[in-house]
Parts: sequence; C-alpha cells; structure tokens
Amino acid sequence: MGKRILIVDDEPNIVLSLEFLMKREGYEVATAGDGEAALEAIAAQTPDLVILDVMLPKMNGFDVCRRVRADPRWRAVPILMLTAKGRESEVSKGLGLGADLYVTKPFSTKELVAQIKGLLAAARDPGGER
Amino acid sequence: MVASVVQEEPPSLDEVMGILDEASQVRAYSHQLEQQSRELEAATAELRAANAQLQELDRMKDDFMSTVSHELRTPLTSIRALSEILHDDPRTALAERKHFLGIILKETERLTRLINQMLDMAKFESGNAEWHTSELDVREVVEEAVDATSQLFREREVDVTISAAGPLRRVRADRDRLMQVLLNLLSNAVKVCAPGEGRVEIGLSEGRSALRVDVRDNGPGIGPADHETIFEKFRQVGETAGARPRGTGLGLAISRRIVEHLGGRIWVESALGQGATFSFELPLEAGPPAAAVERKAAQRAG
Repeated sequence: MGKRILIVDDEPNIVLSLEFLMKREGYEVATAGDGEAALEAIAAQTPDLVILDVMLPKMNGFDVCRRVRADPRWRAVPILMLTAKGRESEVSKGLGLGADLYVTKPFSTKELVAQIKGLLAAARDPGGER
Repeated sequence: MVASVVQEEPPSLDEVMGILDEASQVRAYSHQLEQQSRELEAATAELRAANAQLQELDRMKDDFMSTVSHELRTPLTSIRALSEILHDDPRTALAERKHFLGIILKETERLTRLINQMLDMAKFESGNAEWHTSELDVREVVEEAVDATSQLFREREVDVTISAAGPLRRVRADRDRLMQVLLNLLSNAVKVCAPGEGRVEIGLSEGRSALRVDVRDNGPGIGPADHETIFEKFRQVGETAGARPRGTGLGLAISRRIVEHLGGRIWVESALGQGATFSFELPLEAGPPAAAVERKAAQRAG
C-alpha cells in the first residue's frame, strides 16, 4: 500500500470521516482546508490521489483542478471531485477541467472507497481503463 | 384633386379648405404616431428593465437553491459517512464511537435549524406566520437568549455582557419571535469574533417611544456597502467566489421581517476593522389608552 491521499475540504467533520475511511483502507492521509493550502500540500509532496471539494475558501476546487492539470509534474495525479454542488453544469465543468470523477455529497462510503481504489489502480496501470 | 392639378384651374375655396383640413389631419396623425412610438419605446424600455429584473431574480433564486442545496447536503454528508462508518465497523473504539455520534447529533441539529429557518421564511413570505403577542420584559428575554447560547460562547471563548440603562418598560411583542431575533444576532456575533479574543456587548436602552437593543461585537466589521444587503435574504457578507457561506443567508432576513412586523426597525452600524453593532428598536406603548384599545381588540377577537 503506502498510497498517499490528499483530502481537501473546509468542513472539518467531512475531513474527519474521509480521513478515517482512507486510513482504514491503509492509505496515508494529508489534509488541506482551502484551495491555496491544497496547492502547497501538493507541491510539498505529490499525492497519489486528491479528493477535492469545490466550494473552498481562498481558491475554489475548479481553480485548484485547473492549476494541477496545468503543471506537467501533476498532470497524471487522479482527482476525485467531491462536492455538494450537484448541478449538471458543474459536473461537466469539473470533468472538463480534468477531474477524473465527480461525486456528489452525501456519498456512499463503500462506493467512494471502491471508486478511489479504481482510480489508484488505473493510475498504476496507465493502459488500463479509466 | 389630381384632376384639378391637370386642368390647372385654381382650386375652389372648398377644395383648399379640404386640402388644409386633410393636411392638418395628417399632421395630427403623424403627431399621434410619434407620440405612440415614443410611448411604445418607453414601454419597451420598461419591459426590458422588468425582464432584466426577472432574470436577476431568477439568478438569485438559482444561487439560493444552490446555496440551500449545499447547506443541506453538507451536514447530511457527515451524518451519512459517520453513520456508515459506525454501522460497518462494530469494533470501532469506544472513544471514537462517542466522538462520531456526538458529531452526528450536532449535524442533525444543524440540519434541523436550517430546515426550520427555511420553513419560517416561507411562512413569513406567504403571510401564514402565527403571532402570539404579550407584554414582555425584554431584559428577561435577552438573558434567556444569552443562556441558550452560552455553550457557543464558551466553545469560542467569547465574553458576553449585558448592560441596561435603568429600569425598562415592558414591550408588547411575540416572545418566541423576539427570542429568534436575539439568538440570530448573538450567534452571528459569536461566529464573527476571533476565538479567545471575542467580546460581545448587549446594551438595552429606552427612548421616548421605543426600546432599543444593541448587540456589539469586536469582529472584522462590515463595509458600508453591505449594511443594507446583509438584511436581504440570500445575501451574505464576504460572498467571495468559491468561499463557503456561513449559513443559509436567511437569519438576518428573518430577523428584519420579525422586527418590522412588531412595528420596529433593525439595522447595523459598522466599519471594516471596527466590529459591528446590530441594533433593533421595538415600539413602546404610548400609555394606558393604547393598552385599553388592545385589550378591547383582544376581547373582540376572543
């Protein structure tokens, strides 16, 4: 294992539950509470996957996603956008910006864990299905 | 007429009069047309403005729905995730179970509050709200509101004081609604204060015809441009792109509706970096005659 997941959300209770879930799966976890902190955390140590909220202080998740995708070092890092904004226009915006998956809150913990496993497996095997 | 021109005979007086008459009629028509076209232009401009206003309202409604959806989904997300964790992991450590259950309860309360606020707002808007007015000692209600929020103040390490300028007359108001206004102002005040350094001062004073309550905080303050908009529903201060709003944007809008329904007014005085003072006034009864009228009215109603 030893995969490192960055959780970006400004809602402490959601961070707490995600952190618990990811640790239970044996992943290492880093957290960030706003968009700028997320970019700093990514720069400090590139994670294997980012769980990214959209409505964030300082810089929203869409802009974080755009910045990450614009940097060659981070282009391949899987991004799972996790957000309470479920409008279709927002889903397509997120996916258009290069997010790998767009999951709306509230989420099923089992499905989320499965989706993250899938993304990590696909990232390890770039020829695999995304 | 055409025939007369061809024949080059001078037109008769009748014919001249006819032509003049026609010309003046044409002028009148043209004048009328111009007038109508101007009116039409004005009407079109009005329609365009009305349309723009509708679009703005529609956009605000969309934003509101998006905010409400976000605010409803956020606590629900924690509740669902933590419940599933507890449900799937019967061996979760006891301390963790307690911690998670505590969060679930708090988030449930938050969700309940939000739903209640939305229902309240809907009731006020449809005019279906019920009012139960009685003679109230406002200081007592203020003390009760401080009591009800004391945990919030403790958690945030914010000091709260109440001061009253002399004995106060009683006001005629709806106790629960007044409480609602006070709880809203107090929780707003404690939320904007820096934890550990916060100070909230509640002042009670009496003018000739109104009783006034001031809630002063030493938070970041509110710029003059926002002094009115924060009382509009769906509007929140510090609404920067992507930042998570603190609430539904309904608390102050509800408070304004309540205070105005009770015959008073509510406003804020503040500058950025200077903290903020939210104040409201409730009318004091002019004396026994007014009270007697009220009583008679109540008897009739009963």
